[in-house]
Amino acid sequence: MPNTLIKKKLSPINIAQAYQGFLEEPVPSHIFDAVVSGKANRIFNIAKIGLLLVAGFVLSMAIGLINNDEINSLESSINIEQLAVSSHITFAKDAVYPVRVGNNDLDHLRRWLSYRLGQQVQIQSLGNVGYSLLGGNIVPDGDGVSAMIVYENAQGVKLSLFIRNAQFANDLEQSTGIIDNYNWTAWDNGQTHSVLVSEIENTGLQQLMSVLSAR
Amino acid sequence: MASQKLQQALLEQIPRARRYARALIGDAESADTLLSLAVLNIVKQPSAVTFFTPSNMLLPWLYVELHTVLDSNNGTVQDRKNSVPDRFESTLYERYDSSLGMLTDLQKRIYLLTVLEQFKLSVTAHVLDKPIAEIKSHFQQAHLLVTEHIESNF
Repeated sequence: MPNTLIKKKLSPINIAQAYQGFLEEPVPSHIFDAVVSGKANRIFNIAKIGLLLVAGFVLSMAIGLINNDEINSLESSINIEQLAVSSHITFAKDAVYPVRVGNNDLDHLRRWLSYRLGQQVQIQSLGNVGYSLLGGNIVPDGDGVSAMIVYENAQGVKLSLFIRNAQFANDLEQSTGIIDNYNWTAWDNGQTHSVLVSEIENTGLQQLMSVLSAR
Repeated sequence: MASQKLQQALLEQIPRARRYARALIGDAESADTLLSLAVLNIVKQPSAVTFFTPSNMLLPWLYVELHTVLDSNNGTVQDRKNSVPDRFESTLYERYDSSLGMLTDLQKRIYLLTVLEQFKLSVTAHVLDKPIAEIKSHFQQAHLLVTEHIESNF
């Protein structure tokens, strides 16, 4: 290219042309999420204030009718295993919409879950042990949210991996159990607490846990 | 609904804001990360719903937030590579990136807001919270440096 033409093309007026490509690119999903989730947070906060006001009113009405033991029983909260099983039943077992974000855009799914959880989430493949990835969900968890990754095997059996941000939480001992005919196994990854839930037998679940926790 | 209007208005401005952030920072990934933080700063403000009107002030506001985020993350942002690309092999924007690397942070902001974004000097002054006279002076220096760099290297 002749030097004069290069200089003409590089005049400051043409700087817009130099960066034109960035106008034509699709908006990255994490920026799109920032716009949308900011709105969701605002609505969530308004709803939370409303719920607190209603709860305060109900409590003040009921305070004279219940004794201290009953108050103490209200304070006990749902544990992570119960929440993981409940989320599995509510979301993963839904025949029509088991996941909110599907497996067709894995990068988007990873960014979305990481952004909402406030921590990097790795989405692991279980293809070599017979489970394909369906996608993920965000689950209400106390004052925040947790992530859930859903897998399915060839027989249509669902497997969900519940992940809670545990940066500031106590360690979780590895444990297993059964709630409402669903087996669960829980373990601590240091930064996260994970619970694997499915109706498959416990030994199968343990094997899957070793695959997931080994990486 | 006002919040939907804000969302829509922001989404419409994102491509242009990405272009500005990319030109300013020189690294696409850092630019997108900082832009999403700037967007969050806007949508999380309770006053955002009413303050964004008139809509033509949304972009300058987004840039104010972007500069704030950039200044508070200065140590962690991967800056542009300050090397001169090959004159025949490089793309047009690589050559501009190289030229912008010659400028100070303030000069880059003024130059890009004025030349790339075509903001009026008064709007640029508002975004950067500087007097117009200072904006003019920095712009002239920036323009001279970019022109000289292009002429001597390409």
